[in-house]
Amino acid sequence: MRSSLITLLFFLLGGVVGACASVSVDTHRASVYVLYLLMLLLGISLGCSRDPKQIVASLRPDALLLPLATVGGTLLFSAMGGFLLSRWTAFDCMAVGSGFAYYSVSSILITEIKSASLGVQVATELGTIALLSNIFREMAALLCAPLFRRYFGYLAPISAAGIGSADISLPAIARYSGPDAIPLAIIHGLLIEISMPFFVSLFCRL
Amino acid sequence: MFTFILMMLLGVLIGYSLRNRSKIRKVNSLIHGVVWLMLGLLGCSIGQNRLIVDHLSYFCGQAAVISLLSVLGSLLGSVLVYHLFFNKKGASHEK
Repeated sequence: MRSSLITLLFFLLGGVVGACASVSVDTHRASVYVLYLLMLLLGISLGCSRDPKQIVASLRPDALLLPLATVGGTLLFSAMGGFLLSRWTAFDCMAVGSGFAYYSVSSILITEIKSASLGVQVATELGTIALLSNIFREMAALLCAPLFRRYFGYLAPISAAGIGSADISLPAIARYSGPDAIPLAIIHGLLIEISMPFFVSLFCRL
Repeated sequence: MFTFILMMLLGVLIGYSLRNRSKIRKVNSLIHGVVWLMLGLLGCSIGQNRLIVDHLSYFCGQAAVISLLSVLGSLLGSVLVYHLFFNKKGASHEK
């Protein structure tokens, strides 16, 4: 939670600086290079995971069903956003939903990929919506975990957390779904994290 | 997009080959720092854009709709998986 608030604070700080001061740096280009660095670091983090063999060993069919359900449910319901929000197509809304609470990377990816087809202005608007939407999802996963557990069952806090089930939401999942849920939550978060760039890229191009 | 995935795969190879070095574990702290820097830049580019700043509540409303739908979809997906596949294993998860 503290990390989310700091992240939000940096975003707001950047917003205030951008709105109040004249910044000569090309933020668009700079953010692409920082994103390259981030992808490299995320890969290093995955590669040096302490017990990759243990994670691979626990990859049973049961464990794969939950990420599939999370992805399927998220994409299906996100597509409905295209009918409710006249400005965006169902695929745009699915691209936003494909962030699975990974607000930082998904918003930048959407802005970068959509700039080619929609132009920088509209792509930045969609990127902003992706950022806010995925921040809201992470906040909901953290704050509403007990409600999700109570009304939707044992797996619901994991599913709602999306990618965050493997890191930021893990303490809340362990608390409300029990310690048994931890391996499942880690595999869930890891698999969705790997698939996220593919889904965002796919729906941005449709 | 291909470059982003290549960078990630390159990182996995580097991380795997250096996994026995203790300093490599500090990469997670570095990730936080880079995420903060990146979001600061994103915030800055949004702050420079008057159209977005002037319509921020409009964007918040749209983001809330997609967020609500995404969470609801994933919750219903988890209910389906639980009742079809996990519930058969017994009541150990019901606390």
